[in-house]
Amino acid sequence: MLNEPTKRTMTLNLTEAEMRALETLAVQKDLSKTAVIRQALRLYQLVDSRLSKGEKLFFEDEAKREKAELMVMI
Amino acid sequence: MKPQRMSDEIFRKRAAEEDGCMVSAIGLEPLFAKGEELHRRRGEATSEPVRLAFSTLISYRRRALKLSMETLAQKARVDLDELLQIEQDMSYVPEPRTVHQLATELKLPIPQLLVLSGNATSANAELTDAAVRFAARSRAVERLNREQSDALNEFVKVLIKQKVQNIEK
Amino acid sequence: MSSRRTCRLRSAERDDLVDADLVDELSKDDLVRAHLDWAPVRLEALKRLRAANLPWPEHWHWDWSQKAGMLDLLAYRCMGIEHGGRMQGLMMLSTVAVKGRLAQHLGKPALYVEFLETAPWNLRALTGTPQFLGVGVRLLEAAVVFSQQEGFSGRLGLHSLPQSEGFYRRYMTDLGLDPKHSQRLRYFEMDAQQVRYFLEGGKS
Repeated sequence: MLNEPTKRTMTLNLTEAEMRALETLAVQKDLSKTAVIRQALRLYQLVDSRLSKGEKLFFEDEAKREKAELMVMI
Repeated sequence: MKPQRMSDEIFRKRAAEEDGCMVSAIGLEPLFAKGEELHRRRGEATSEPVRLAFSTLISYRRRALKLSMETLAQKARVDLDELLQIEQDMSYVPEPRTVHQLATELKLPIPQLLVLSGNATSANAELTDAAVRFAARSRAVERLNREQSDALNEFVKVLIKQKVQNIEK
Repeated sequence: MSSRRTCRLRSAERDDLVDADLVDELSKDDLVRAHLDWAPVRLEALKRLRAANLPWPEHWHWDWSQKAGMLDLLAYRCMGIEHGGRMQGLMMLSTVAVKGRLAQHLGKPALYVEFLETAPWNLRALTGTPQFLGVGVRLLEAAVVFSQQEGFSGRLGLHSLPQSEGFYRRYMTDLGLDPKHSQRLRYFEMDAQQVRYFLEGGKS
């Protein structure tokens, strides 16, 4: 078994709506809530890294041939 | 879920199955390959005549199929601007997706077009030689004359032959 | 912070199992060192192949030092197998889950293998006499274990170079050419049953 790296603990304060969203995502993705948060953090850092290099993030609807930029300020 | 481990007996079997294979995997365009990709795009990969061959091939093939730029761009679902750049700007390296779309629409073999466009490398001397010969014989005129048609047909034959040979391997 | 655990490789010469280290989180320096170690051996092998009019491997131009920058992000993790102070194989994983594509995986996260390569001296096609066998198997095993630890139940996905398709087809489902991949490679996915077969044998 791969040794688990040292983990640190933090308490997360969420609103009811945020907790519901987290629980829903966990069920949908078949992940623990912790795993969902970790996925979110990795994705956030990844997106932030590319945006800060001047790249843009788009959603694309191939069927409609539409592209829309995701205007986020991270 | 408790992670499982392979027993020595199973590992020996799997190792024997791996022997003789070249195990490798390559992902979706990874972020930080950009440095490597740019390095390739700047000239390590494609010489000018080969890139000229790519531009001319797209242009001639489009005209041989009696397609306007607008029609091809629409059918291949690429930007018209980009198509114009492909046909006219030797330094421009299109995205692999664009090359796929164009190759599919123009019924040309994708792997060879990826090499000609500068998106992939190949140690294949026959392809490079054929591309250089094609570039040398071609000239940019509005309608293909007989000579240009012949040059185009010969070059496409080489590309398809390469594709068949690669499949047979 | 990386950790090591012992894994066994098969020594081709002695035909017995030897202990190696699976390092589960490599640093950028590790990748640069591996590249500097592998590149000259690979180059000599390529020269021999050219002289013999034999095809080059499809990944002949890979440069792991160029991939080192990926490790600045949590989204990537590189693992390697080390023996005798040399990397015997490397594997870059995406820790941001991909969507499973098998019917039984739809909507579920899978671990994606970005890059996987065995050291050139371990490839029979390059050297004639490989040093170690089973490096690819051990890396795939490590990917399965990591997928389980991440909560993905061992689900794995990867795109294979044509030269490797036969190997992956033994243990994974071939989902065909992927038009979204820049080189239109075939996409393979491993489900729970296939994980069991891969690790434990029995019926596939």
